[in-house]
Amino acid sequence: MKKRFFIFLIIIVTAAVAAAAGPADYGTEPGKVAPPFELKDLNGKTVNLSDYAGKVVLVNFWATWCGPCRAEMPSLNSLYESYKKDGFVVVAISVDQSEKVVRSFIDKNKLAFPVLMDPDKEIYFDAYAVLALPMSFLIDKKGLIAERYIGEKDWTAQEIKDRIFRLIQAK
Amino acid sequence: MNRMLVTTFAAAALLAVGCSSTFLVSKNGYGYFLESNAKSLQTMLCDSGDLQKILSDTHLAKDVKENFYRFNCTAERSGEKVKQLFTVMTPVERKELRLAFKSNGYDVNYLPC
Repeated sequence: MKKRFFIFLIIIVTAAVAAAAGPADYGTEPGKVAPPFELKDLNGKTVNLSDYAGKVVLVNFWATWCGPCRAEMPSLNSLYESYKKDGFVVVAISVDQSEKVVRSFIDKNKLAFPVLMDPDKEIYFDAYAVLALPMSFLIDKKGLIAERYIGEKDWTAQEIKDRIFRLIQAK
Repeated sequence: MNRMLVTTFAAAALLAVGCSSTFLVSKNGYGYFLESNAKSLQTMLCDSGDLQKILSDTHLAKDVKENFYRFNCTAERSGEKVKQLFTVMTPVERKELRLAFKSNGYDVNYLPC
């Protein structure tokens, strides 16, 4: 009887603490908690943002029909290759309708980072409120948005690399 | 012919210069930026009653619906204001809007190439 009471008490206290903490402050402005996502990669495997907890992540929204998106992919791949050994992750989320077209582009350009599909735009439009392509979100180790990048970028630019390196080094 | 020219120009601008920085809507193979002054967009989305139907299919607040319509289909048309409205919506509201567009034959931020 006593044991059951204590278990019940622990459950109640845990629930109360969780409730007091409030819901996560999700958003896409710097300082907000990056909205979670669950999407499939080109192999059909489900990938969650939470899979990369504790790592610095760059989420890049793109489409094969978007010229500037295509143009920045080589430098994005180069950035990924530079820092992946330090645990840096690039996740490219495509809003293309066709996996075949995306796969062809990935193979042709030898892109090494994970590519996820969001054809219904549930993450792109609903969760991340993206209106521009390409658009990227840099997420720190605590899961907070550190930077937003709108439009095509030279991902090998020193300013960007330094920013990412500082986040990687942060505890 | 004019419609094709406008669409072709919009497509070329999108693909070459920079992809959409505001709402792009497409239907039946034609895509337009919402802030465009193209008559064909006005006809497709506003004069047809499509946008009113789309908004009535959502549970968005009355003032949000009114503003969304006003900033798209009246003399107060403004891409910037549409973006602002969109940005402050919750994910649930954005999903409703997207699905309402979809159920009325539109796709958002997709350029049919």
